[in-house]
Amino acid sequence: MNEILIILFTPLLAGVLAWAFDFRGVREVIGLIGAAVPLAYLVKLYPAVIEKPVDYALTVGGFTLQFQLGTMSWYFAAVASLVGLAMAFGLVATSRSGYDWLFALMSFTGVLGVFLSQDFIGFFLLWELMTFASFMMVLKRNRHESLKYFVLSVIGAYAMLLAIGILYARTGALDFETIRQALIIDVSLGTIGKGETILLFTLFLTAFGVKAGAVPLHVWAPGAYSETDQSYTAFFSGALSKAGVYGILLIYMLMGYKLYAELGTFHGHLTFAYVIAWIGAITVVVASFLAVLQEDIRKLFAYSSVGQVGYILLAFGVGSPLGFAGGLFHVLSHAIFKGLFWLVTAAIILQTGRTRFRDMGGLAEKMPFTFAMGLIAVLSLAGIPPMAGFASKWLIYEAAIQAHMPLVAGAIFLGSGLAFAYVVRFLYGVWFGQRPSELEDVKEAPLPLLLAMTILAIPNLVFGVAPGVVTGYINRILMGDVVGGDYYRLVTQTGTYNALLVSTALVIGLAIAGLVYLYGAKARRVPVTDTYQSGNPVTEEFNLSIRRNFYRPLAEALEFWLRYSWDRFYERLAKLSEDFADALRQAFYNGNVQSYSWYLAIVLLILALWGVL
Amino acid sequence: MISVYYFGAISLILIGLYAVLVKKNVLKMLIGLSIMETGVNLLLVSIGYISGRSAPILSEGIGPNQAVDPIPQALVLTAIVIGVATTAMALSVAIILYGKYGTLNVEEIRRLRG
Amino acid sequence: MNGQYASLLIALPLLSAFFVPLIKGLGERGIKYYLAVITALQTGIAAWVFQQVYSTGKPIIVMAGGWKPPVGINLYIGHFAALFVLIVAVVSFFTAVFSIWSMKVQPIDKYAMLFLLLMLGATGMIATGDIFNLFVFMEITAISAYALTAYNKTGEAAEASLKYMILGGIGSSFFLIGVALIYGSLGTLNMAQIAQLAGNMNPTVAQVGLALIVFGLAVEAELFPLNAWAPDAYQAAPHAITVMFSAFVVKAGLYATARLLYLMQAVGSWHDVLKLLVAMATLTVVVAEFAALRQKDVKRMIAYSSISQVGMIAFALALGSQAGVDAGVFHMVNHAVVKALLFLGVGYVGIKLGGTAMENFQGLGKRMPLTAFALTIGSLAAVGIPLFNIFWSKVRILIAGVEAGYTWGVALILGASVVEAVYYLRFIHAMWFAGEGERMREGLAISLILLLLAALVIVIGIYPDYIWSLAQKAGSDIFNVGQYIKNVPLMEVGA
Repeated sequence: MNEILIILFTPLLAGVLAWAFDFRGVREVIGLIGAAVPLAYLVKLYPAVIEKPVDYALTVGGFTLQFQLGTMSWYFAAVASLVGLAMAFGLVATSRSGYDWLFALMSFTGVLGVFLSQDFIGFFLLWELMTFASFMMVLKRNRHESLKYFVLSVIGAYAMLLAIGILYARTGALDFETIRQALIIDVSLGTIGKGETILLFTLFLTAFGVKAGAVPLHVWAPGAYSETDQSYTAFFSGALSKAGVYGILLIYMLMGYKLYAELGTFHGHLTFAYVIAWIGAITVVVASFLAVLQEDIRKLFAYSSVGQVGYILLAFGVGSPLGFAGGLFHVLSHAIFKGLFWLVTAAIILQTGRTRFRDMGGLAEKMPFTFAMGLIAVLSLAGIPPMAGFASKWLIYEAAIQAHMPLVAGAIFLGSGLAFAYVVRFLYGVWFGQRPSELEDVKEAPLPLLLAMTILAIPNLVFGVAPGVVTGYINRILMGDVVGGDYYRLVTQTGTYNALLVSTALVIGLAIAGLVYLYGAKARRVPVTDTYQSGNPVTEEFNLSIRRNFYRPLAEALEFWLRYSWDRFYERLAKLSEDFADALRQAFYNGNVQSYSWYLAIVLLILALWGVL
Repeated sequence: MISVYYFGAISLILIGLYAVLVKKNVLKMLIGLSIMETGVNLLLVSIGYISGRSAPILSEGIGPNQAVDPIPQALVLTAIVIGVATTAMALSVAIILYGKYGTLNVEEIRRLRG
Repeated sequence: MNGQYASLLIALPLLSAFFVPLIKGLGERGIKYYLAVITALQTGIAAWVFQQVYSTGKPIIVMAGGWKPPVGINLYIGHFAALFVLIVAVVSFFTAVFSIWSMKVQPIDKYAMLFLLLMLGATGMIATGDIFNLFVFMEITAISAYALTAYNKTGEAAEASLKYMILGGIGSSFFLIGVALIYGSLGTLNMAQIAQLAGNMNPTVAQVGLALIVFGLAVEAELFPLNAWAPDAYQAAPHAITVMFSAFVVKAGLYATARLLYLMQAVGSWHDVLKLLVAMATLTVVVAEFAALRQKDVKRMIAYSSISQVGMIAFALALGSQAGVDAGVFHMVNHAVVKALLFLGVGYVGIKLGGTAMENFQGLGKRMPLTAFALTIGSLAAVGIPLFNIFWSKVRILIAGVEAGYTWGVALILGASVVEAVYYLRFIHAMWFAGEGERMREGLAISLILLLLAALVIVIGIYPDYIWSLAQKAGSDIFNVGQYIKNVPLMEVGA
């Protein structure tokens, strides 16, 4: 048996088995094994992969599916497998049904397949499988949100299929390598015109943008991420959204030169990359604002996830090697910190049954380990050294500055500030402050969930202190010395980041602060109403505590913009098309056989007029 | 000479079609259908007609060269049988319809729609 | 064994249909079992023919009375016909078994006769090599279909039957005119000979003839806007019959359209006809999907879905390329399996729970888990989820479509497929995640059939190679007209 086949299909097989033998204990063991195998094999194959890519081909239905484990696909697959393993541990604690295991592991296979495929048929097949499986995870809990997700995903998938069809018709090939070469040659041949190139680009961008949650195709994300098992969301948001990001890379790889040749440059940037960068920047800003305004922690992290993936798009849109390096690094950091966040959320929901800020507080004492994990995630997401999140954001920022994209860099900055705003609320509102009396009996999360969190927390720390490990590998992917330095230092043309030094300083600082807190702090309990809120006295209507409407002034300031919602726009569009469907069938299939005969007569008449008769 | 038959056949078809398209009564529509079938049959026969020859029945004085093309006539025989069967079917359905709906007006027979 | 035994495919159902009145004394059960036995026999013969054709790679030509074509009427059982005759027989067998349990309305002996005649008609349409013979078989199919549609004797059934009859009547009349024109121009009714001579025809006559034939068959093949009878007939017919309508009656019409279309590709305006058909097929898909979106009756919803899938098949067949025809045939097979599964399941639920309204399906996962499972597999397959059979044929069709230059058509079909996903997924949600209910007993035979079909859906989905290779052979049987002409031992005309 080929290793690639094992990596790909063990999760699916394990999922089917876990579903078939749906007994407590059995399904968990099968599921865990299934989720662990890909990571184990990826680790095993690592030495081989950095030497040369591992290939595997499979013939199904007259199509040859090619899979390849190269440096880049290994990277993406490893990230997904890491999160997948954590998800499996999480599911042990949070799920009680084989159904969840089946579809969670099915989507695992789908994601791995997307990363490993070297041709469009396999890519599309596994892409659809991934979409479908994740959809089923949501369908169980919420029909409306799941359909929104599915419809958008399917529109994306079909856009991709159309693009694949056009590429196939023009190049006669379905595998990436041939298409890539054919498109390079086509620059001089010109069989694919400018219009068609733009069409292809738009179609692919739609397909991958949906999955990555790029504005304005992000509307599915908040609902879908929150309306499913939160352990699964760790994978959903951590790994599945990366498929979209990977797709953007694929656009570069396959069509980059062609797009450059057809569309040229704009202010010194590749035009098409500029589009991607701006989509990323807008996504960052919009999603971060919306995240700040949420009252439900699941929604908050959902928007936050959308925003963070926006960073990756933005980084890729910069188009420079450093941009790719930053984006790729952020793929990893986003997966591990957002995965961790969702697992923490899963633990909170599992133990308290609450999801809204107003119902929470003071949980740090009750769930100290979960709190510690949450803290790591918060630090990483907010981009505070020495976490992985800082290193990657720093690289993206450097890239944007170097590429002379100040507005885009501004978006990164704004996004970071907003990210800080919402994680602070999470940090304080959930873990500190006064604990509602109903939460007195809350216990620490069960062991599997804690294990799951640990699996993701460790890389956050390790890659934070030693970011050079990741950048070293990324240099290998990009085949050049993009980011210099050693394990602890990152060196770019314009700056240096010494993670070890920063960490040491931070640890010392924290130690001092801890000493001050232990010996010097005096806490006094006051009622909530005995405080000031931006100079306003507290009334019952305007009571902005950290747990309630904390950022309402911001919402009021943004009122004009919040009136426009893509979500509502799509809902209206959906309703319109349903009404159209009703009108159409009522009018056409009106039940009167005489009208039906007229249709026949009209067709005959058309035939006659058209010159056939 | 032949064109008269063609003209007649096409007229019959159009008359039948007219009845189906315009008449509201199911029975009239079915009659229209039958007229249409007759027109088609006439067309078939006239295609096989060769001026001045007799029916393709081998008998004294009529060999293969004195008769018109026999195949269309065979076809028409089949088509007539089929037509009869269809009409009978349709009429029996019309009886059921009248029983269930109390009317034969097509505009009122439209429970299945949309 | 002599290939001429393949004529049993026609003879067996015909003779056994006439024997039904004689065995009326056996009682209701006896007749039902008789039906099952005959269809099983037919399946056996069809399997034998299938095996013969695919192992030798040569078509079986049956010459009636030993007369060589074009004087004698011949049957042409090539790769396509062998495959589809088998499908017809197998589906008939399943529905016959289903009928044992499901048919309660009298007179059951008439039902058995019509059932056999319907099977005969479809088999004949697929197997015949003579255009007038095709017309006769088409009428046999149609008349038995009219009668079976009305079989439940309710007002709705009669209404649907009437609609079917009027539209079918107009269609077949014009088909016959087309046949007459071609005969008048070429002096032959043999399909191989028509193909041979088509290039020499008077272009105007050829155009009109082809257009009228396609028009007439398009009514049977449920192409928009000629398909208005279809949803009503599907809904009102007995559940078992709906399975047959969707699984092979419409396929026979589609096949006949495609066969005649490709036979006459020498006709001048051929490409225009193709374009027209592509447009009609695309509209069929779009309109039917939209019409299905908010249906409250599941059977009608699936009927619309079936129509849209048929539109997709027609789209593929009308592309005029080998890839398109192969994909279309592949889709025909997959669609037959999936729709047989869906209509059987829906019919079963309809009888068990007294109706096919959407409310009856709520909580079906708790009441009838096996049936609900099978229906779910069928629905997912219909949506085109990977690892289910329809995915492969759909991808094939769409790629062939773009290749043939119909990017707009593919885009529209894809858009319509999104709509399809919505209503099927709502349906799945209703079955599993809404409503409550007590567990009910599910019949063994029907559960077995449903699970068998569901397994087939998944097996083809995971391992499509075998069916795909069959579809390719069957597709080239339709597309490769030169080979078709060569295979038929034509007598020299005038000899």
